[in-house]
Amino acid sequence: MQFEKIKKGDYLIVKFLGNRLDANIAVEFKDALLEIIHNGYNRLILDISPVEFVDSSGLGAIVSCYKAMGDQGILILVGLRHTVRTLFQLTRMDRIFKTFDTWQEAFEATH
Amino acid sequence: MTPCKIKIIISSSVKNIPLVGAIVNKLCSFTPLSELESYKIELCVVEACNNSIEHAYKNQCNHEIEIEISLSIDQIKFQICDYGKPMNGQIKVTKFEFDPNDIKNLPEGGMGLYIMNCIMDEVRYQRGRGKNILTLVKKY
Repeated sequence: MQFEKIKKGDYLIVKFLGNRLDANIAVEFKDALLEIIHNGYNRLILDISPVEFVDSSGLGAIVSCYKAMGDQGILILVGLRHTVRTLFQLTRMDRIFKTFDTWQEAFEATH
Repeated sequence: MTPCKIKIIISSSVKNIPLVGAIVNKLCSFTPLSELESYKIELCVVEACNNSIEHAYKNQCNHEIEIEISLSIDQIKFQICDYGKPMNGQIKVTKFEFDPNDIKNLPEGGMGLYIMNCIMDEVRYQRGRGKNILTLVKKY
């Protein structure tokens, strides 16, 4: 699982480097993120700018990680392409997640 | 555009789904559909194939899924066929509702049919001779 991680203040920025977040990768993706969460990070900025395609399994994996973060958890999504954003809008999951174009914008908005 | 029919046969592994998605997306580029609409149609076919693998074949990867694509002057039609467990009856207009404030109970699945119903002009299920056929139609 390819991730880039940057610690920035009280946030961990996690960039997923794959170009598809689908049923083929969803379980592995979820397990990798859960490991980060279980290591004590509950403020995450997830950068999915390289991702060209997300299906409901990929979306479900993101939701599952958010739920695992508990009431105090913050999961911000950044870099959603307009095609990917469609899935969030269709399922109305765009009500759950704050989104920004870049992790820098997300970080500034939270501080 | 000259009407044509293309059939893809894959084994029931999620590893094969990106290939199907890429073919569907490319075929859509030969229609008047926009890039965004093509993406949404790719999403529907991927969801249908995922359902065949997960629900009909219970994640066993040694079965076949057939995807028949019919391109015509005014629509693109997909028939996603498997020989696994049948669906329960006809497809209902599925709702996908949740309380965004109830984090613990946010849904992690059950979105596939809802997505297909939102995007496609026609979603139809038939079962016959041991075969599940899901038909998806998008007009343009």
